[in-house]
Amino acid sequence: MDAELNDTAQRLWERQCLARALRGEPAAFGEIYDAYAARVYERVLLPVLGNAAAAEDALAETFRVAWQKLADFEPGKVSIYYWLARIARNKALDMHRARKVSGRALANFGSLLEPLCTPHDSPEELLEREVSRHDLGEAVQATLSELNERYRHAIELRFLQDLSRETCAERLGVKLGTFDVLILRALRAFRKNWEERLQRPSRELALP
Amino acid sequence: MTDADAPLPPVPPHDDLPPSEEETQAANALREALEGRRAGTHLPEPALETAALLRFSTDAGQLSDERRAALRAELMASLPQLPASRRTVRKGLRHWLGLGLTLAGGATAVVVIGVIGARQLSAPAAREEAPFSDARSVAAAPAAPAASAATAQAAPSPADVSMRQTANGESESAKEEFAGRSMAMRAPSASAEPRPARAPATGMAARAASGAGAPGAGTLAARGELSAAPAEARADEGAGPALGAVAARRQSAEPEKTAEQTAESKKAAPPTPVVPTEQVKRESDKYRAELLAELADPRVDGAYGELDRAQSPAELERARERLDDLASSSFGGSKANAERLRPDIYCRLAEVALRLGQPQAALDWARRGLALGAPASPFVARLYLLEGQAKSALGDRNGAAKSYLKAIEVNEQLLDQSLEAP
Repeated sequence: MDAELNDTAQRLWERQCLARALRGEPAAFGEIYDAYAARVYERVLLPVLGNAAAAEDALAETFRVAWQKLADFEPGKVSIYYWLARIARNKALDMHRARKVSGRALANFGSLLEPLCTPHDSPEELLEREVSRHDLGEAVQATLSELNERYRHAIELRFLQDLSRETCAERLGVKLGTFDVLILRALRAFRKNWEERLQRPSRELALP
Repeated sequence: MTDADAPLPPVPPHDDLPPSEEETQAANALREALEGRRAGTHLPEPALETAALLRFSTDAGQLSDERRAALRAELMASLPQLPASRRTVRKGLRHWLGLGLTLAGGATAVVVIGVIGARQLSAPAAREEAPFSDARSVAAAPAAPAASAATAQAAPSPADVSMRQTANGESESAKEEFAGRSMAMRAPSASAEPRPARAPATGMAARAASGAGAPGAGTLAARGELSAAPAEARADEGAGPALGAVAARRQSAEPEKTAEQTAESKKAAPPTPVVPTEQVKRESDKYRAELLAELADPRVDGAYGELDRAQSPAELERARERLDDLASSSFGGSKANAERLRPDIYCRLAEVALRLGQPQAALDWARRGLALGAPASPFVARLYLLEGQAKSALGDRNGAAKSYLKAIEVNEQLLDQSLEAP
C-alpha cells in the first residue's frame, strides 16, 4: 500500500516537473536530474561502459537528449526514469559502436553483475543492473580470498586501493613490466573464479 | 612491520613462467586501457571487464555528489531552448482547460447556491417541477442534506484536503491539479477536520455543456465551451433542463439585476478550484446523462427517477430494490449501451447505501460494480470514489485514500485518452 502510494506520488511529482519543464523551466528538469542522474549512472551506464569518464559523458548526453525530446515522453504507468534509462543505454551502445574511432577503452561488465542483480519484475527493469553494494563487496572479497596471495595483493592495490602502477610495482617488489603481466594474470584468475562462483548467466545484454 | 612491508609468498610455479608474446601484448594493451589511453587491437576485453567490475565494487562505482553537481551545472548551462511541440500545445491546452474549469466552477457555484436556497424554500414544488436529471445531480452532490451529512462527517474525503490546498488560489493545468490534490490526500490526518462547503455546481455546469461521444471525448468539448462561456449564459442555454429552469426562476425573481451587478458578483466570488473527486462525480454524471438519453429505457429512467426523488429511508429502500432488480436484468435497446450503464447501477446502489447510512453495504455494491471488470469509464472512477467513501465511513482511512487515488487515476487516464483522441 505504502509502496503503491509512493509510486503514485512519485509519478505525479514527475508529471508536475515535466509540465513545468515543458513550460520552459529548466529548474524543473534539474529536479528530475537530481532525482535520477546517479541511478542512471550507476545502474545503466557504468555497467555497460565500465569507464567512469565515458559514463559521465554519456550521462550528460542522456539528459541533453532527454531535454530536447521531453515533448515526446508519454507519461503512463512507468516512471520517467525508465525512459531516461533507455536513452542512456542507447547512448552507451552508440559509444561502444564508436570506440574504434574514439579509441576509448570500454568494458561491459553487466554480465558479471547479473548473478547479483535484483530479480526483474518488469521489462523496463532489464535496462538496469541493480546490485546491492554490500552483496557485491562480499562477492568480490570471497572471490579474492580464493586467489593466491600475490594476485590478491596486486588486485587490492591496483583496483581496490586505486594506487598507481608504479606504487603497486614497488610494493610488490617487481618491475613495471612484470607488474603489468602480473595484473593481467591476476585479473584472468579472478574472472575464472568469479564465473565459477556465481555461475555465469546465459542472458547477456546484446552489444554490437 | 606493516602489511605492505610483509614479504609475499613466492609466485606459484606456473606464474613464474615468462610471458608469451601474446601475453605481453595483452598486458601492454590492458595497461594503456586502464590508464585511459588508446589500447590497440590486443586488448584483453575479459580482463578489462573484470578490472571495471572491481573498480565498480568500490566507491568509484558511484557518482559522487560533487561530480553530480558539477555535471548538473554543465548540463544546465548547455541546455538549448526547448523546441515547441505538440506536447507543449497539449500542456497549454490543459492549462487553459483547468483555468476555464476553475473559473466556471466558481461562477456556477454562486448560481447553484442560490438554486439550493430556492429549492429549500419551495422544496415540494421544486421537486415536482424538476426533471429527474436535476434532482439526481443534487442528490449526488455532497451538499445534500441529512443522509449524506452522516457520511460526510466520517469520511476522510480527498476533497476536504484538496479544497484546503487550493485555497492558495493556484490553478495550473488540470494535470497538476490532479497531482497536487492526490499528494495532499496522502495526509490522512487532515481529513479529520470539519468538512468545508463544496461547490456542487461544477458537475451541472459540465453537464449543461456536455457533448456526445465516447467517455471523455465530450469532456474536452465541454471544457472548451465552459472555459469560454460565462455561467449565466450556460444556464440559459439550458442543455441541462433543470439548471435552465432554475436559472429562469432566478431571473424572474430578480429582474432588476443588471449586467454590472452580475459582473460584480462574479468578481466577488472567489474562483472555486476543481477538486479531483468532484471532477470524478461530474464526469460520471455527464456520462450518465448521455447514456440515459441514448438508452431511453423507461425502466431505467423510472428507477433512477425514483431514487432521485427519494427523501425518506423507506423511499430510498424502495428505489434500491428497483435498482437491484435492474442490475440483475437486461435493459435498454442496445446491449452495448446497457453494458456501459451497468456499472452505474452499482454506483447508484452504493450511493443509496451511503445515504441510508450503510457503509458496509455501499462497499459491497461498489466492489460488485468493480468486479464487473468494465473497461475504464467515468463510472468505474465513480465506483472507486464510492468505495473510498464507504471505506472511510468504516474507518479504513488508508484503504479510502487508495481508492480515491484509483478514482483519480482512472479519471486522469480518461482525460489522457480524450486529449489524445484525434
